[in-house]
Amino acid sequence: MTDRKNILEVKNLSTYFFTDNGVVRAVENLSFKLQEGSTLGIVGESGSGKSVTALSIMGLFKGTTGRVVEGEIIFEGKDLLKLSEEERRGIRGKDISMIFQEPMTSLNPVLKIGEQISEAIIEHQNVGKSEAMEQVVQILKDTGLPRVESIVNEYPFQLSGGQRQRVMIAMALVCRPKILIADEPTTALDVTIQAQILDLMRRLKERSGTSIIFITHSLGVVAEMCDEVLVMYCSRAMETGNVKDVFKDPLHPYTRGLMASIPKLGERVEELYTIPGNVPNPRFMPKGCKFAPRCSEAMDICHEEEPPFFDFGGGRTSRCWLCSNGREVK
Amino acid sequence: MLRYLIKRILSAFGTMLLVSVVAFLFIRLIPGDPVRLMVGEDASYETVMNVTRKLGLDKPLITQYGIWMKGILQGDLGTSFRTGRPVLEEIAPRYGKTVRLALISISWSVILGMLMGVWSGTNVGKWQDYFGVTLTVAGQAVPAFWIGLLLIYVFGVRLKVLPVSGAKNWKALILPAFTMGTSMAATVTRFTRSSLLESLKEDYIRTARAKGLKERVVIWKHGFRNSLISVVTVIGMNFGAMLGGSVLIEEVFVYPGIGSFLVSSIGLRDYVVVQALILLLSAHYVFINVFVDIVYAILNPEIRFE
Repeated sequence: MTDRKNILEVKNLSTYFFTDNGVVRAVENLSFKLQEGSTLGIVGESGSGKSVTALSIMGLFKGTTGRVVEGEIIFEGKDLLKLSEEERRGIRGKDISMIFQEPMTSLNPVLKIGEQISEAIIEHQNVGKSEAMEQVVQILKDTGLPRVESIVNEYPFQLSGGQRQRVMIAMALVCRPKILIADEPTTALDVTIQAQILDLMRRLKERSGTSIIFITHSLGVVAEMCDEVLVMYCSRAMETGNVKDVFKDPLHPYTRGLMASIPKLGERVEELYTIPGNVPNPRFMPKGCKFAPRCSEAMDICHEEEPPFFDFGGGRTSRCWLCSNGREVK
Repeated sequence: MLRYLIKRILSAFGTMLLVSVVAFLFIRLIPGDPVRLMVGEDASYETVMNVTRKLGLDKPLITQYGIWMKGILQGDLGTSFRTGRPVLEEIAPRYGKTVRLALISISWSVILGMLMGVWSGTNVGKWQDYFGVTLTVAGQAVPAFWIGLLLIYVFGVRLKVLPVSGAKNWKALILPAFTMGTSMAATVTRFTRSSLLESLKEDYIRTARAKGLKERVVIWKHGFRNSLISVVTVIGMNFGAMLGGSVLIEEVFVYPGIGSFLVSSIGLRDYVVVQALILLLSAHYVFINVFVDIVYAILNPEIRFE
């Protein structure tokens, strides 16, 4: 492992939603580390717990039935889960900020763009309105938006989806956060705009050194953006490791399945590969490995007992019985 | 926006023209002869004919309507059959009293309703919410005149702390204003609560929280601002009904406004006064609607820029 220090460490995180129809275990015993200045990709299918992981770090469960039931989220030596709501509010938007998937609905329709960004500045920094507005104009220019001086006085409905996502990025970065969580920031955008937004995030990251958690369901985006990757399936981590290593030699059959599902340029196949079966219903989880029912390499033990993590050093782990040659964790 | 506004105001005048025809015909459809009511049963045929001619009631309806309209355009609403004084002079002081009562009622009920709605909506499932919802249902279900009678009994008859009739001082306004605003307060509470709950579910609320804003700011600046749009519609619709409802409340509290004046004028078939009052009450409805549209545009930038 490199000698960079961890800016965020998530240990044994479990987050459940207590709905009227029972408990939904959205994140189960999840651990990972985010190194300072690096980008961690969290990849997985819809409902695998990626977004809930992000919300757990942000502490954004107000108005939902969700709650972190176990674990630690260590940021700069402090366990965020032990802080008061008031202390966490001071971190949100200042040290750790987040951009969301839906730029169309994530901005308040009745407030001007400038107002929506500057309120974060005024909340976290000791500056007046006009100084905050100067910062707003500067950060919007950094995101490559045109005619910034008039955009600050416009409303969200006057901007396109790509422009709104740039505004969201500006809003998240304006207080120079140490960690930026991007929850599928390009999923709702056109392909050409997607590339522009990814490019923008890479540029801004290089300049500010912000550590990023990049949530996506696309391995292509991971390859392009991330240093480390965490593959999630059914609320659990399945495989972790350096992006290069994982792409060269995926250890977990699920990761291999995801990679086989990416269409390759210049290769014409009759049918795209898909992983057979569906993600299991969270209320009827398989007993052993959660991926076993869909796994072509499943053995008897896979259906009986959930595999632990096997550690191969350098941050590479895999939750699969096939990897039992590695060092077992716990 | 300006063009839209001009269009709305022009169509409002169209509506008023229609209302004037209905008001004019409606009062003449009620059985009963205003002249007989004025001169008494024993008056001679001669007297009746003279008075009829003097009031212009012998002319064809269309001519009577024309005379009325012509007067209105010149700022003359006609002369009351009953008192022989210009209708405008009769209405003006009473109108001021009714408007004062209505404005006081709407002010307290809208402010209290919004506060209660937010209080209730941000404490869903807790006692504060049940308390608010119970009060709301009660406020909407109980008829205003009954609340009025109850208040008169408790504060006027039993405790003897507040006057129960008239409009002499501010104290006399307390009970009627409370009665008049109750159902409005309940309606505003209910709509504020439900529409706040809707907007608190929106993605931009999560964004606001992700910025680390204080919960108070999240609720009032981001949630409440957005829910106001639908609350204003309800207020506008109910404000019109409130002025119409003043008829009942003014009767209960013997309040010298246009409501009680309208009732007695209908009794005496004072055509000119009734016409004028119906026109006035309708004008409230119509122009409050225009006003609501303007407030809409202020609250919702998307409408403003269209």
